[in-house]
Amino acid sequence: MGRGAVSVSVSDQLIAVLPRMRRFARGLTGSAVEADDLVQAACERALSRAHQFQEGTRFDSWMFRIVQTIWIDQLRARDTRREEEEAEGERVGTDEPRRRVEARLALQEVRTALSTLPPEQRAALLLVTVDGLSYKEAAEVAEVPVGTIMSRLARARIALQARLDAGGGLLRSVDNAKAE
Amino acid sequence: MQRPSDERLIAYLDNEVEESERVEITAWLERDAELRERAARLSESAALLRSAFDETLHEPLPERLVAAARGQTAEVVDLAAARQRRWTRHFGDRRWWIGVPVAASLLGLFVGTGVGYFAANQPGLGGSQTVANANVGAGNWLDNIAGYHKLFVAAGSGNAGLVDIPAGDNGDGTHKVAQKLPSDIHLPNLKPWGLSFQGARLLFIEGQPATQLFYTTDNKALGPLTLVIGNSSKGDLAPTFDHRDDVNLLYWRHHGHAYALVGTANIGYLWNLANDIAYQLDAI
Repeated sequence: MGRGAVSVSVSDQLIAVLPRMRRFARGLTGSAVEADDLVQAACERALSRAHQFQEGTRFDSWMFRIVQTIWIDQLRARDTRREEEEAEGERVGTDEPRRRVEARLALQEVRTALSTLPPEQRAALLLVTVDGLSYKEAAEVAEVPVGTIMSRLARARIALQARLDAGGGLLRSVDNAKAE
Repeated sequence: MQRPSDERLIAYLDNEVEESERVEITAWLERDAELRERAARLSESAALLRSAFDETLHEPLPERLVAAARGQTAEVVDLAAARQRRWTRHFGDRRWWIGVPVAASLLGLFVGTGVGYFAANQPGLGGSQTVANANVGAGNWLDNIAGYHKLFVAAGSGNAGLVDIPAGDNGDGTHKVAQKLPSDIHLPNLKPWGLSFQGARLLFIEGQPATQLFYTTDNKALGPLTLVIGNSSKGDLAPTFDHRDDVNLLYWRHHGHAYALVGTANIGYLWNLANDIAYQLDAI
């Protein structure tokens, strides 16, 4: 198969997996803009290295691995500075029903809690809990043993739970919703 | 077996333990209230996490990413412009609001915390006793829907011959299903869970019309799912867990309607789904 034919196939598969790549990248970076930059870089790398993709293996896992690799490279290359812009505060000022605002803030609290986890735990959580990969598949993406994924995931889930419990914001939101 | 550690409990919730360990942990959950609470909270936080990122899947794809995937020359990323585009999209594209009902519906998970299936077990009775009592009279129709669920899964979602109302290409199947449901019930939205409606079967449960809805998903931890909604002349019944071979069931009755969830997902997952459905339908 020629290089061009491979690239066409990879492009089709890339477009199909773009939404999940964006979700994964957004979880890793904590920023919508950085996430799309990361996904774009991953697409470009995948196309330039399409010949390295092994037929018969999972394309989505290959792409998750590329996204994660680029992200880790970026973390090592520069100080990560999170952009907390997102205009959340301004949206809260709309006439959006109060319960919806509170629910959205609760979900924002979850995203914030995720962003405080170590990078490798964050990745494990996103791959397994959010994207539904098996432990074995996530281990292949992260290029670590299954046992390592299992322990990273457990630490991440426990830490996330602790952060949510400590924050208490979710429960406040629920109380407010019930009061309404 | 020792009390399962958090790591083993999480692996159990993720369907990543061997069958023998699954049975042992299930037994622990039935007799250990603290462990049940722990499992429920872990399931809730996992469901919240999924929901926190679900809106990304429904957003329109940025043109620059589609272009990049096609190998076309990518634009130079202008961060300010990107922010502006995103700002415009929040207000200019109604699809942003898809994430809002997801979040709103998830609040139901918390409203129900502590009053769920596990807490529904009556004081003084062990969990297994309660389940056994609740099964009296319910066995036949549970057998029926569990069996049909397995049949549907084995046949594959593309086998329209097993359903009375196929999903249809344009979503018209959901409209037909909605017409078959009790007049005071609407079709719950399970898309936020990644569940895709495949079709519905019409049946009678204890002499009352009911609808069995089939869903599939790419989420392996959840797996194919059946939701049954029907009328019932019996009194309310707290959410009750049961199983048939490798198929789990959670069923309840509320205000003249009967509900059941069937699937291979673990108890925590089914419980979270039931809470969401109950929240949407005010069914528990």
